Amino acid sequence: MEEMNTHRRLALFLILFVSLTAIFSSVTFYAMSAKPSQSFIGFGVYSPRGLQGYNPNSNLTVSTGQALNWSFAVTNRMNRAEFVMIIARIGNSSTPTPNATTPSTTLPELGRMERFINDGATSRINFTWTIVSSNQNSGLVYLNVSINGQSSISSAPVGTKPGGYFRLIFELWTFDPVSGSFQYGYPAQTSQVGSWLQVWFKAS
Amino acid sequence: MRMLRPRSLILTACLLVSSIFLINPPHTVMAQSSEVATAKQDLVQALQAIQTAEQQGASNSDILPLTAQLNTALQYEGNADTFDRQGNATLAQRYAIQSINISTQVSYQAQSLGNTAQTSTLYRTTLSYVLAVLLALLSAVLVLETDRIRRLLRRRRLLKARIDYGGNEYAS
Repeated sequence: MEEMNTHRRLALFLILFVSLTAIFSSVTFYAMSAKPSQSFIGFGVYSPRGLQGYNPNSNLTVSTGQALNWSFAVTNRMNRAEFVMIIARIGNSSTPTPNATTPSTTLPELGRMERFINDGATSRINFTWTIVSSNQNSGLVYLNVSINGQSSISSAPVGTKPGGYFRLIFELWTFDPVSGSFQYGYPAQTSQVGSWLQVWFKAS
Repeated sequence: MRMLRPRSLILTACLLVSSIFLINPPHTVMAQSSEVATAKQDLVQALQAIQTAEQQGASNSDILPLTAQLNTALQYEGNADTFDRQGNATLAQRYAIQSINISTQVSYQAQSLGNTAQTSTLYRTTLSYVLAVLLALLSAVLVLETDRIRRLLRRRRLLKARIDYGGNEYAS
């Protein structure tokens, strides 16, 4: 009778021990697991005077020789350090814009800015640009633009009628270690997410 | 024989054209010195080392100085690239070597950080699960032996209690 009681107690102890081990281990696993989060990279362009050219009919007029000191703020929430590149392009009101999957590779490239950004950090990248000169050909105005003190690059074949709108287009690219090259946008769960900005302006 | 002549001419022309590419490879490859190319590769390797360290559990605060150093290396690499395009090989080489040195240091530090983080993560994980099992064991014992523990406590309380003989009130 005594032996049977001991056996029953041992079986009960084992059932309890195994069940409680499963419960406490699950709690430990949950506590130690990384919390789910949606990874993204956000970026914005800023001017100390306040940027006005986000709208197509804005009155941002840039005169030749005027230096505009803008900056990009790039926030990395990808759960890892990222190598980021911003490509500046120039377009007019009729040129195609980038979208969520495709960059505007047909537009002239004015410059590139690269930066390593730590996870959870926001990096500020300076962007100083100047319209060095403009020239008119067949009724269209073309600009020569300099970025961050580099030699000027022509906007041709992108031009506008005198008084027409140009726009600066900024594309965000991230370095993909697998392919060993920069890819447009940032990697999401299934595909790349394209990210871009544009600022409209008139040249005077 | 006469029929073969034009073919052999075409073949010779093709060989000549391809030999031009062999003698004069694409411009981008020629324009970039080996140091600048190495600087670029080392930057990428350093980034991969940082990302591996992060996967191994290195904290953001530990990684932050490495990212800052890598940006300095990137700046030097940019300078080297600019001077290389301008044809100033000496300055290009100098900046490229500076960039390579920093990138190498960053890679080494990231590897070291990653290893340390991996060891501490393994230690923490093992300790947590051992604690979970011990807690389960303690809880199982507590549930099964509640009656016995309660009896033991009651007996101890009884043993510690003072014996009151009740003789004081008669003495005064």
